[in-house]
Amino acid sequence: MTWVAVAGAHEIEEEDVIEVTVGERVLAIYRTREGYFATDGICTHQRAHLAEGLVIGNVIECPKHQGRFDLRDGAPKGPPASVALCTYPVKLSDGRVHVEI
Amino acid sequence: MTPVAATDASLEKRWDPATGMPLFEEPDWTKVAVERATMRTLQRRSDVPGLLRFGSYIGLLVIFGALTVVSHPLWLKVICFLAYATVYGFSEPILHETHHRTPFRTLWINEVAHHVSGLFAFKEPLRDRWLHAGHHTYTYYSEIDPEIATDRPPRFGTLIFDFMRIHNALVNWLWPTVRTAFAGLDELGKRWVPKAYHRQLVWSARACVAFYAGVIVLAVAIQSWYPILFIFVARFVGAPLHSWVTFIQHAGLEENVSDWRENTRTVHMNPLLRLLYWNMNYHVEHHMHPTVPFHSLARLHGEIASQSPPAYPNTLVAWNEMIRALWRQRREPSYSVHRPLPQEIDADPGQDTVGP
Repeated sequence: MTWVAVAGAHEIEEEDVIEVTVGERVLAIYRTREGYFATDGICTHQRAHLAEGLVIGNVIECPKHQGRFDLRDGAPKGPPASVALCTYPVKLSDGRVHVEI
Repeated sequence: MTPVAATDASLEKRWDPATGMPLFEEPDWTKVAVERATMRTLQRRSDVPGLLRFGSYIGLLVIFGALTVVSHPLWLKVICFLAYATVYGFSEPILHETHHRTPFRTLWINEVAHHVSGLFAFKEPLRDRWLHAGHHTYTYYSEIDPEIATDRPPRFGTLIFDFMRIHNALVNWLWPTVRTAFAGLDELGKRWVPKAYHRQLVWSARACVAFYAGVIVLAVAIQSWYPILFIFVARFVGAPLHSWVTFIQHAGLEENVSDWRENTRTVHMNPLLRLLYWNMNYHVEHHMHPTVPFHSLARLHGEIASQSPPAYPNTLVAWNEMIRALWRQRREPSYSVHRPLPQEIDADPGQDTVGP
């Protein structure tokens, strides 16, 4: 497991999400009032990029079917989401968001 | 990725028996790109527009319902009831919007409106939400979309019958609810809903059945037909106007294509219809970007209009095209209306409107 810098802290607006690619892994990086979070970037229900979805509080809503996940622990919070998202530890260092992968 | 070849798949391969999920490859849908900042603005959620719209719906029901009860003579009572029933029939767009959880920012308000509109529409809302997700994934893919309204060749008798929602509401929606309440999910439900949610669906269906039974008990207890009229009879009597605006969403257009601009109609409608229909006349826009709430669809239409076929100027034009196409499909089932994309129109300016 290594820490990887994925984005500048100010590249993500509050209550928003961006997509980054690390190797072959697609990640969604979120910024909420509670801080920064990272999950897999593709919905577990059907193929959709979560970064095109909507952050509402601590929830990410999938752009395709509006399935919902708690972006802090990946737990499904509303159908058709039913399988949890994989989440990753996040830290801020030198003004950049780092994800442990 | 190659779009799904729906007609090539055999029945045995269509569903994963463990999850009930379809095994078709997902179509790789064409989307008209919208600038990210604009999309963030369009996606923005608020409770206010949804509460105003839902409040208008309930308010109109209360007003026309009260007028039905107090009106005299009978012809005036009938007119008031027809107005009540027509508004009541527009529970379907509310159910639809709340499937997507877009009209309200506050989740519990959305779910209250979801269940109330489901009761009025005769649709158990949780099962229908799963089926509707399937419709968005496989819009108008003939072998798998659970919401295709017409067969090929079309059965006009069923279509006319369903103008009052008689077949759909009783056979496709109410009966599965009753069945789910007492005997578990039907086949369609099992196909689309993961097992982990079956128990939740059963209890939701039981709640629906309890509500309908309660309406009958109330009617008997107060010795009045009004509960039966307002909840059950209105569902059918008031359906035609909603059918008029909703039948034209996809019927007659191309099947098995991965571009909503080719299989879906956006139709301009007057403000009253847009109010009742929750702006679902912007149907291409809704399919392409379903996170955009109803109150921002007109602006989204402005964003993608230049990259889309011309919107239909009114419902009559759309109906004319649809009926002609369905009539032709009686003898030529593979026939579809082709909607010209902007690049085709540029190449052949005479092709700005295409009909059968």
